[in-house]
Amino acid sequence: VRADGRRRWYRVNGPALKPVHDWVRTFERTWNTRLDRLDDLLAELQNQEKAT
Amino acid sequence: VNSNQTLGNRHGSAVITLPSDTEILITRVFDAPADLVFQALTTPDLVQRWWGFETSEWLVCDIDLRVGGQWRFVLRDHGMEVGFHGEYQEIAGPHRLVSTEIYEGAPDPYPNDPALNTTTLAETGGLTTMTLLVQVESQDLRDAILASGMESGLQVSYDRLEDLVRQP
Repeated sequence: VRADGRRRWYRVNGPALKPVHDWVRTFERTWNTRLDRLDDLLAELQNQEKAT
Repeated sequence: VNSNQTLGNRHGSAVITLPSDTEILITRVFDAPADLVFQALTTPDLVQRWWGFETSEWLVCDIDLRVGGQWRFVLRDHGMEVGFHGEYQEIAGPHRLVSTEIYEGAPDPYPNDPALNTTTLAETGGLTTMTLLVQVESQDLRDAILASGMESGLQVSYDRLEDLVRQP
């Protein structure tokens, strides 16, 4: 961090951050698969309710 | 009746954030009342239809829905058995559910370290926003959960494979 008058400059280490990002992405995909299945189930249950 | 018209339009919309070094927050909106979502989270017959993966075979799905009651899920997926269990600590259906979760296959040094899972369901205009806050004791355990994709090592493997074949 470098202070320059009222501005503050941050240097972000892109390559170093990327693995952390990918890591969470994988976890996110896993949860998306699971919650998409819940989404489908909720739609199915509501359609059944309507049909009866 | 085209019952599938809106089906899947929110697929892939779950968002993961890391509020602190020891927390994971999962957020997802559903086109359903909170009451129905709560049922899907706490009724064994319904849990078995979504919590695992399509290829999962359920071996145990026990839910004793009372404060101090235990839950336990055991699934077999491509020959691999995975088990999870915990205890309900707070039940305020359909808006709040707090329970512990222990991954039975966790290697040392976290064999029996529980995560605290707080689920909230907020309903507005027929939509329910679900948040699941996972809280653990240490950043190491939080990172281990993220890294292992411990909810389904298999799915993670497929995702990795997908990434791999997508490389130019």
